[in-house]
Amino acid sequence: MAVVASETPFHVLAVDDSLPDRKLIERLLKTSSFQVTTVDSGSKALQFLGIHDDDASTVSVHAHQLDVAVNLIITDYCMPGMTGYDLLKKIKESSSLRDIPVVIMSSENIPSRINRCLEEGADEFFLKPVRLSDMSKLKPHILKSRCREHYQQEQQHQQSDSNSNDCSSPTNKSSSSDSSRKRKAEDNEEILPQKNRPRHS
Amino acid sequence: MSAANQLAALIANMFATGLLDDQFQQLQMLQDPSAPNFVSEVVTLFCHDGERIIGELAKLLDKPTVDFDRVDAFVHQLKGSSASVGALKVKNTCIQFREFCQQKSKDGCLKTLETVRINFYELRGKFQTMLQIFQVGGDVRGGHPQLAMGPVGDAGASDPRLFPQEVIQSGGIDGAACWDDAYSTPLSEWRN
Repeated sequence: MAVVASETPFHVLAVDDSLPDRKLIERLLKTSSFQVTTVDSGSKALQFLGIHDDDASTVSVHAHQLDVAVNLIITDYCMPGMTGYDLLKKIKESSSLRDIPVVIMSSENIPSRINRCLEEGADEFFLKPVRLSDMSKLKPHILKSRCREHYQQEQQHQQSDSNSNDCSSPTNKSSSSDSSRKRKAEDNEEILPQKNRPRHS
Repeated sequence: MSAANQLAALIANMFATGLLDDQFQQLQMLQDPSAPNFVSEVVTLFCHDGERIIGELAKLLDKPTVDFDRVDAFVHQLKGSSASVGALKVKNTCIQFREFCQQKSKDGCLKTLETVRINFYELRGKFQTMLQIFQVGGDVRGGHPQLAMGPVGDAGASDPRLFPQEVIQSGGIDGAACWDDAYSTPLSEWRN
């Protein structure tokens, strides 16, 4: 039975078009022991997550690529082109990404905006500038999502002996390390980008 | 006066005169041995970003017909980044600026752009000084009541901007760690 590499830090994808803000959110997240990837737009975020704008198709990857699992997405609301709200919608529309917790950040305290995001499925809304104390709110959402995911996987395994519908075949074929890999993959059973480029722009 | 004291005095002065607010303290707290240049880096990015935005605003307001939505979008950006670094005065000017955008007042926008420019360059000058002192050994965590390394010198006695002359003579510029790869403007070009 393989030992779960449970010390792998959670990986957060941060999306913000402002360079100083990206620097800040990256530092806040790293200080809070998250692994961080930053991108400057919603479309780059979707690219990183393995989703193409025009379709919701997913790219299945080999098991060892699951290291780039994204455990939480934190995005600015006001961005040119695709707003944080648009990004949120795309994530929630995707069968493979919808379970990843999403946090929206905004410098404007507009209740209708906040409600709209929460209704669309955002897990949290941060008012900018984001502070260190806000970081402690992130892990509970990640853990909640993992529990949900793990429960769903358990359910699927009980229903069908060897094959779960949504699992990509490479992970299923390896036996002993199967469950540990899945735990590491948590949110994404199948899709993750082929390329593991840390982006710190 | 040691670099640490100079820096502490400068930062304390910036707080006292309303240039900075407690968000800057948040930045100071985020700096540690694993990210020893964090404050310098954020400040540098803010200064570049601010200059870019002010340039765009000037262009947009120079047109016979002003696109106020675009102007507002840029002001919103500047307001956001100034809030993130604790640039209180610049942030507040941006708030006024946005009101003129909403009123579609070209005159109001032009006047406020001037104020933003003045406030921004005032702040940038002090940030520039801060980075220079920091580069020769001051700790940018100084100036914060809890984080300051030592007793603050006689802050009221001299203009912080006099410090650079002493500081620059005493040490070289170790610019490498402070600069984002995308920006290669040498520090000396800031000294307008």
